[in-house]
Amino acid sequence: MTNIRRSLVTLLAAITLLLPDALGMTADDLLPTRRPPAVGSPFGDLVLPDIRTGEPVDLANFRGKKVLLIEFASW
Amino acid sequence: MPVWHDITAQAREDDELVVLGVIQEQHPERCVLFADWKGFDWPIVWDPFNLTGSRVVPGAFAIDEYGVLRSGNLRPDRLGPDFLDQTFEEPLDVSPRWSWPIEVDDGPLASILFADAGAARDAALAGHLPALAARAAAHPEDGPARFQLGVAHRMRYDGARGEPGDFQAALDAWAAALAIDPNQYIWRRRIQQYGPRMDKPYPFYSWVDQAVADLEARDGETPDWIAELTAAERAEPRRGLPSVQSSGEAPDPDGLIQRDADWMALETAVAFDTSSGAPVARVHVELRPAPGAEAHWNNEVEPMKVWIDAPEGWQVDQSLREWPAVEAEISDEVRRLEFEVVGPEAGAGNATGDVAGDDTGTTTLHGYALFHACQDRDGVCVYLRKDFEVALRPPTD
Repeated sequence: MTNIRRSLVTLLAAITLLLPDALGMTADDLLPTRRPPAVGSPFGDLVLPDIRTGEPVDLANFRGKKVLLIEFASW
Repeated sequence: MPVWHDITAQAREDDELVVLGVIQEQHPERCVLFADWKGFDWPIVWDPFNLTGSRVVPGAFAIDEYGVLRSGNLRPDRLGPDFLDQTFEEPLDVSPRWSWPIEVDDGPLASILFADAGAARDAALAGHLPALAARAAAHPEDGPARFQLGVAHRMRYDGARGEPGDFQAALDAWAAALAIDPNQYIWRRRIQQYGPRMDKPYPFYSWVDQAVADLEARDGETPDWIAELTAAERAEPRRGLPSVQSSGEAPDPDGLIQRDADWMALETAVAFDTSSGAPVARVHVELRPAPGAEAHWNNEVEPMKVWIDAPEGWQVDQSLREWPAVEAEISDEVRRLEFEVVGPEAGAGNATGDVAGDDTGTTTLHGYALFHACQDRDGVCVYLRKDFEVALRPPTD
């Protein structure tokens, strides 16, 4: 599990560094100001731990399916 | 979110849609309970540091098969049975609020976030919190850095390796973040969760008891629910200032009771109102047997009392509080009591115009706890008093 997580963190760091180029932006564009994605643009990557298992959930694993991403709180 | 769950049920069953939840709550186990209670069977991920940059909840985003955002402002009341076709064929008017990609290049945050809950996360927090503090200090105008520092402090406080002052440090960091961006409601909710009733938009976790009861009835067993809620987290909102009850008599007005030096550890934290600007706060007082002191609560006699002297010009909703009777003769639990205090500028009604407070605007609240305790080392049981002070300094705009 440790290796998986280490790989994940490395992957996430790489994505953050590489994706600006893919979007025609520099890292400086991303870091100081958080830019919302525009409708019609790639949503970007999202990897966060599952609240039940702690295991990483990668949005990319759902490619090929329509996704409804809901942000909410139990309160 | 039950409405989203219901609307999407058929599409999920037909494998036409994946639903993914994201929460920014401090404590994920609370949402696990909520999801089990509501029957949410879709994955939910945890973003306590708000890496996604969410500013308010709830919100929903439609992402198509190619990873393209098709709508960023979905509302359940706009959606009918054909919402899938509508949403994915023709984008709605949107105003996306999220930023992508999330800033996951931050090693300390990722290490904490993906560590197993328990000892591993405690160790990650102990190791990385200094770096988060240094980052926040180096970039005092960086709201996310301050918010994330607060999250880490509260995590460490909730873990087994909490340091004295962690809770207050969390509240201070969140308040600093909110001062930078007052429209960041994810940050504001963190303070309100522990703050005075008049600042609560809703009762944050008052649903927990009903959820536990319903799950027990449904499943025949008590859910694995171990997280402890503070009174503030269960409290109902109150419109207006706290009601001030009769203060009663101070239990040791002349300070005659023997002072506790090191048997019990005492910590306080203050969460001020974030909305009205009024000097109204919720004061958290926590006592626990000090590590290594070999001391325990002695429950064979009268219950523990905590008394607060209202500073001049201030009022306390209830100056004297008692810890409920404990059945066991000896115990070691953490004891948390909360008070709400009202400052003179809030119209508390007894301001004299010459209130206590120094030139920084800080007022000191004095209080003490009275309790019976026993110590293994010397085999003695005594009645003790532990004094404390709380600095009341309303945040400035």
